[in-house]
Amino acid sequence: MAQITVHRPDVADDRPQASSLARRVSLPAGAVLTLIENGKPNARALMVKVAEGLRSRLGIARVDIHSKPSAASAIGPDEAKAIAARSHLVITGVGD
Amino acid sequence: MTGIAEHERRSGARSAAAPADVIVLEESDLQERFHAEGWSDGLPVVAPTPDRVDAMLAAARLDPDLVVGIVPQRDRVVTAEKVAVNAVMAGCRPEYFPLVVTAMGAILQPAFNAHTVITSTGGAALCLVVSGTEADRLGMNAAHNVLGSGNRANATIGRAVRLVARNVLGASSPGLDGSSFGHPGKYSLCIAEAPPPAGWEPLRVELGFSADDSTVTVAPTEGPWQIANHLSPAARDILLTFAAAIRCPVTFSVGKGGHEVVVLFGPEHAQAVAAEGWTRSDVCEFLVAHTRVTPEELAAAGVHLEVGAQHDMTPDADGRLATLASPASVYVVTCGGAGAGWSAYLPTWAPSIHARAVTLRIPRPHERWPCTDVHGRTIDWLVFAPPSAPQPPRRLQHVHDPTRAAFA
Repeated sequence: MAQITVHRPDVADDRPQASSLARRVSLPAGAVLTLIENGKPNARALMVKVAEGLRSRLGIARVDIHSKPSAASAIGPDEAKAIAARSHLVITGVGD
Repeated sequence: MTGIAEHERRSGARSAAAPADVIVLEESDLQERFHAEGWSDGLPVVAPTPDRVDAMLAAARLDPDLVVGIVPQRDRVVTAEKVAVNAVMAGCRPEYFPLVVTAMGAILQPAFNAHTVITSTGGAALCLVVSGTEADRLGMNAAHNVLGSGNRANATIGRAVRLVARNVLGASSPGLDGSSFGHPGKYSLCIAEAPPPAGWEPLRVELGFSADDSTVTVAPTEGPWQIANHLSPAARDILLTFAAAIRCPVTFSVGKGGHEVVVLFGPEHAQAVAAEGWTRSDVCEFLVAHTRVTPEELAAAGVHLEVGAQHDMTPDADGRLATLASPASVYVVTCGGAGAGWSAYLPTWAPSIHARAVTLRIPRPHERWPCTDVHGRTIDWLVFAPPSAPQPPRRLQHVHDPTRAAFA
């Protein structure tokens, strides 16, 4: 029986096994939540329903929906800054 | 695994949490171990021993830690060594390695959008088209059975890049490869261009490279469609047959504003079309014009129009929707074997707003690979791109991608 040395073809998965949640803060009056939808058919319609539910359950003033031009790409840095500037909460991940 | 005698050593360059870069095992256990780890595509692999990996790197004169590219969404860095390991496993000969690395570099360009291409339910292949004398030097097949089996270079070069996607980028199922069906080209899909007929330039020249260069074009494609027109010698008839296939509503991107296609002209069809004086540009313009579809054609196939979503399916003034955005969306490749009058075409997996084909020049033998010291000795792929390299949409650029400067 011959032993051989071989390279592994994969790479280390350095992602943390667990991470702590961000600090929770009280929302101000007139809080704005933004949902980023991925641009696929019916995604916006679904997000409108979700927005209506969140508005009533969380008691926030407004829920905005931001549509991506391509589900295949992340939003750009300028878009991200603009959304962050006008929102108190942002939900960024909408799958299909 | 029990019964496998092994020990592992850690590379000094890696963190203590990283898995060992090499393992020692019984040679007879190799296949079972690699299959069990999920490192194979289902076929047997060649043992990536250090001497074989070193031979790959030596053939391209690359340092193992050189960065070929990154996928920032996955926090993945693809090094020359990892590409070499997977190339050995795929069965590549060392002389194939400069082409493999170049193809991988093209796949990792932002315009190709590898993160999404290898994730999508659409199940795209990493299609490689090699144009130039490098294909001859490596013994690649551009003739009969070009899309089939039997040629080592075609089979293993295409397999190598797919194994990198699997093992380094996590493109496996179950896992981050969400292909609903996939297709056989996801094992390997790599072809060479045959010399075009008189009057046509080869693909690399059409794309702005020198005739003396060799290039590899990577495109995220669905499976190939065979195109039959055995009876008509008329260029227009042949091109109408191509157009009928490309505009078929069952293809996802038809009518969605424009996607790219790889059109493989068999010998009879290429010669017939060129003999009538049609240039490549004429062919591309014809296909763009004759693949525009009406909403009624889509509706007749049960296809609904997207409204208020990422693909604008509002008909143009002529009442039609674009399937190919422009002549530049058509990659004409001459290949295949003579016989009855066959050709083929490969649709790309999605409209061009999501991903685009990328072409790079393959370094000539003994040519020094350019490197920079910025961000850790990354290959400077700009040196291998033509001055007129197409610009990707800005939305496809990524914030943390150091290669984005190439498209600024």
